[in-house]
Amino acid sequence: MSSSIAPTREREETTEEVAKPDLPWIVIVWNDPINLMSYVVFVFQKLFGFSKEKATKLMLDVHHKGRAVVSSGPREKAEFDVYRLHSHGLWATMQKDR
Amino acid sequence: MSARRGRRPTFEPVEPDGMRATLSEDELELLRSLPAQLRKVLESAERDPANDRLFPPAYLDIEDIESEEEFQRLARDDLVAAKLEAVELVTKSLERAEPEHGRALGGKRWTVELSAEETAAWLGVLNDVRLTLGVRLEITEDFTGDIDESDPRAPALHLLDYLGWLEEHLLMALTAGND
Repeated sequence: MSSSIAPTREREETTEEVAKPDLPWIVIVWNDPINLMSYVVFVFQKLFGFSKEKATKLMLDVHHKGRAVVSSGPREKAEFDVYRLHSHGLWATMQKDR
Repeated sequence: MSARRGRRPTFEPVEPDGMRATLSEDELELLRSLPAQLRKVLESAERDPANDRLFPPAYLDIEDIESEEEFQRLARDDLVAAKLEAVELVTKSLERAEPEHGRALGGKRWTVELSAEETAAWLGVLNDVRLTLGVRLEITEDFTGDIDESDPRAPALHLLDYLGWLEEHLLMALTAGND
């Protein structure tokens, strides 16, 4: 308890965190002309454990609206999901949810 | 690759989680040529559209540019390694293909039994080859398989069509009984 320097730095960090609330990140899958609809449904089920119905609905959103949000959460989770989607050849990106 | 419609299944599930692939000699030869083509794209140090499609950006916002560089730095090597491993699994499994017994008429057919891991690798490699082919052919709208024979790209479009058909059947066999 002898330090008188550390608290100053801590306070600065706290201030910044309050000013910039930690928004969740969303993962978006974009439409592409090559991936088969059945393949996209298969990958959604495999990676996220979605029911066939939910995976199909998301695939149709991608197909008709050009994109769909397939997952959200902290940055690390979003990066992991994007990585897994890329490893399966899906065109996925992530951004802050705003 | 003509006369493929109406024939018996190319892929049949094998208990407990394997898959039997049965191919004509032409198909076997074609499939054996694919892994090397994909490996070339994966190992290319130069950026090109096919490469960009297999390894797209994770962050789109310009303000996330540093995060994007970090992501590519960390993820790219792992992605390439995983895809190369799939290429290797497909290559090795195709080397195991054996002539099917008891077929005197209608051309020789080849058969090979795939493990679950190899089946997943086949799906991934088929899909990645189709993605790179689609980029090279500059396909921008959903590909329906309608091919203009006077189009200089017709042979490659037929290949894309065939590989899509093959992948569709692999998916059907993989998900059979899951509905």
